[in-house]
Amino acid sequence: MRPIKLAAISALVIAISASQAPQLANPLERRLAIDSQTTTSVNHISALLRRAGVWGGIESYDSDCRQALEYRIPPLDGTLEDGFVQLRSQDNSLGWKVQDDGILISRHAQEASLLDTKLPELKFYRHDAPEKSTDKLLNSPAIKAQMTRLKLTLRSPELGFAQLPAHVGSEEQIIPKDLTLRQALNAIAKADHPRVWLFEQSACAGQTTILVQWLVK
Amino acid sequence: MWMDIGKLIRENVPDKTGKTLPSDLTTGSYEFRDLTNKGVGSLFEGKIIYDKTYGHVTYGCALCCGWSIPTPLWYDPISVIITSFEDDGVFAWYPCENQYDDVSTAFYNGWSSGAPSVVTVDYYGTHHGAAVGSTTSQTYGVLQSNNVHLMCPTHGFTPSGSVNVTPVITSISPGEALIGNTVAISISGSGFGSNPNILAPSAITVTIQSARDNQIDATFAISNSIAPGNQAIGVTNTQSGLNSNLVSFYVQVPTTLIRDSDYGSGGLGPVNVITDGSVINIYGDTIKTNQCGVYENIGYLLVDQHTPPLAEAIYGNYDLHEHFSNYSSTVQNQTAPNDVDNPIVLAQTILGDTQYYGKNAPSCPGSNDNETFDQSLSVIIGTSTYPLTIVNHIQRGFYSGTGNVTVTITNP
Repeated sequence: MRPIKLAAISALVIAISASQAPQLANPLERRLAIDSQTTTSVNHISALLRRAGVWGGIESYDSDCRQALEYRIPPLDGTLEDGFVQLRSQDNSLGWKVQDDGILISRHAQEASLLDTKLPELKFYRHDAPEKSTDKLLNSPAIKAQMTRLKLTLRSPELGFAQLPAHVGSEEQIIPKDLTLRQALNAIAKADHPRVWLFEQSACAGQTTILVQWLVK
Repeated sequence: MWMDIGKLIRENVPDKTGKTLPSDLTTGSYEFRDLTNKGVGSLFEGKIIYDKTYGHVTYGCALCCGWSIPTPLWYDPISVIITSFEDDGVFAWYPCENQYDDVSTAFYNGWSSGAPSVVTVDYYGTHHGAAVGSTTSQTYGVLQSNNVHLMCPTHGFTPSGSVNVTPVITSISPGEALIGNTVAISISGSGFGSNPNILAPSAITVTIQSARDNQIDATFAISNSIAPGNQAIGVTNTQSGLNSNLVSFYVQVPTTLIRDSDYGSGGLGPVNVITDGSVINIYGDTIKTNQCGVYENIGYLLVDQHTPPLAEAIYGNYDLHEHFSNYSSTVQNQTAPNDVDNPIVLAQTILGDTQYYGKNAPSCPGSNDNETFDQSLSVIIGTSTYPLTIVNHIQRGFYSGTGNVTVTITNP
């Protein structure tokens, strides 16, 4: 009887442990409420992510010269996924996927992108202004070379309001290695409070311009 | 005092209101009252001669008109703030005029405290709070009673009442905070005890970090649902169950941005034209390198709902949301900037917006490349959005080869 009892207790302990194991919450299930808006897809995605407290990235590729369309979006009280589904009912170019505990959104996704460019490493502090780290990335030899190869022109983003500079020495430097530009932006996005980056590429009048901007800094 | 009523009648002598006694007056009633001494009194009546012609003389003694029991104290209980003074006294019922009289002078030098360690009382009945707690105080005095049958004897009275010595808040710092924020608060005063409780509206969640008799350090988590403006805050000394005075704590709501006059020229920094240089923000942090263009930093303060110029600066944690509209550009296919959410933290005493127009060097904008747009702002705290009234009209870029940034407030 004794071995059987022990086995039963062990099974019970394992069952309890399994039920208590932390599970990575699906960020798409985060709940949020947002009022009715008339806005662009990019601005609305940014608002959804910020309200849900989820970091994310938006890749947007346009091959025409049109101004971004504005949509009349009804109020929402639901999950983040509900918000994306609601937006996609008006902008069917939208796609999304979960990346760790963040979300990557794409509009008119392309197979090859500057975001796939490999970088040896990125050094930044958690509290660095994200545009400062992005400036380092865009000035790295690998990115500059790829931009030349792809004939991309860089547009300057709206810089917005300053954030207090990180106190160098008071916090540990983050140094992810061997990563793509997309992974580098993700690393910056999730390092501090949930941030949202935008990579916008538009081909217009024979010129392809890119914009890398922090929508939620 | 001698009064000849006959003379007053004959000579038509007016009283202080100008009235005279009728010349044919032969009878009447009267009343004496001692106005200066409310206690036993010193006035008594002798004889009255009211008709000298016929020699009628009447001897009389007025009915006494003293005070009846009980003799209440001014305050029962009396509340005395610790280390402060509070006057008390005695009322007595005066049946002849159907009202209470203040007879405190008759009770001077009769006061005593049930617990001098809690409260002391002086000659005049002035209470002084020595320590938070409850006790009694009483006094003794002699008044003429209104018992006619016993010839209006004097009577000793011993009124007493409860005394509560309460804690006091002398200051709360800071005295204001942003709605929807959690802030560290320090309450100074006296008599809080070792385990106090903070009284606050239900929309403020209080967490006490440390407490001693004269200071409490706590955090206030202010709900977005709270009514803006003054909120009453108090402290309960839980050992005695006694509450302090209430002080005001001001809940701020964001209203607009104003330019910070301590920065640059009225809040505007210099216009910087760079050909292969860095964009440096208001904190001196380099945020872009190898740039060719023009930029300017503008310093702002977020202010609350007080009417200008009394509006107070707001320091707190929130998102400053920028939205851009009415965009136009001399460069084809340029589009309005996307919305930007700027996280602002409590330590930021100035808000610095960087308006930059340029390209990565060695590329530079053309000599007439420029853009204009409107910038509107809102503050987002949790799930609440507070639109700010300010609207800026921004012109930036190059004009006949000259780089410039102009920020015009079109709505304050």
